[in-house]
Amino acid sequence: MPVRPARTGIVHTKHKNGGIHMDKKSTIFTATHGVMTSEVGVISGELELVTSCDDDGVLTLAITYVGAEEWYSLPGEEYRLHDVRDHEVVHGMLAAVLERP
Amino acid sequence: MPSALAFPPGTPSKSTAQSQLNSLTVKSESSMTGYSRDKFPHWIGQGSGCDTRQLVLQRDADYYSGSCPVTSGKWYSYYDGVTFYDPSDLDIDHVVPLAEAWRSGASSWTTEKREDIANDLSGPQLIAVSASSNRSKGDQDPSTWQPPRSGADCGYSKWWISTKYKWGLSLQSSEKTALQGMLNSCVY
Repeated sequence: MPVRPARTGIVHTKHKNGGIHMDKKSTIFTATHGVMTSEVGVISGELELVTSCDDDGVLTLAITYVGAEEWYSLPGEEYRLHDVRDHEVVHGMLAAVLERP
Repeated sequence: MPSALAFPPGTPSKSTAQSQLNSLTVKSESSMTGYSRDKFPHWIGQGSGCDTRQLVLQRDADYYSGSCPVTSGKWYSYYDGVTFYDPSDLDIDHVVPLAEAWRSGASSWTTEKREDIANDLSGPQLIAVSASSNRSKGDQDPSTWQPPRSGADCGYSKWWISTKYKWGLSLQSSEKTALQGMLNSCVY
């Protein structure tokens, strides 16, 4: 199977939401052997990872099947960056690690 | 005390499973666009205050106490060969996962038909197994996930094939190859 690089940054928006800035990044990638989620166990196939980072560095991780109507969480909680500029590298690292073509 | 069934209902013989496998349509999977678990309502009420989950827990127990809900009992988790006594350690697995059903044909079904496969007590689509094995399996088909207990391959492949056959779902060629290998391990 040819290795197709993950598509990163499909969504990269900064918007005001009740005064809180949320930096949102999205990557679509393939995980043939799946990714573990909190709600439904392993999900596999074409997946979309979205990470959101607020001004305080609190990071929220969400994943779905491309085009599906529900989102799942990745294991763990209370991830917080000490510098919001690291959001991009954390997002990219996570997408690269989760991809399993 | 209710007695345990050796296998879920509708487990086919090796030769029947083989002819069912031969007749399934081989097709690449369709997209997950529009998918959510809400489109496969489960666990539905089955009367007398029991839902589908409780009935499968009762059916698959060696013995149990309590009715609905079941409060304790003894279960052998077929996938990993581990025995449990607390029902909260068990999940009811959809042998053909709901996401897998969606991408092999169920995306075009009515919600009513999806509810039927998600609560199918008449075939081998539901089985009580350890929550950990159910989570590890997730939405995967037999080309990427097989039960960790190798002796479970035969039964598992029969249930998978029979469910896809009953519900008219397609399969991928990698999935068919894996199922054939697993079915070959059956003695009968």
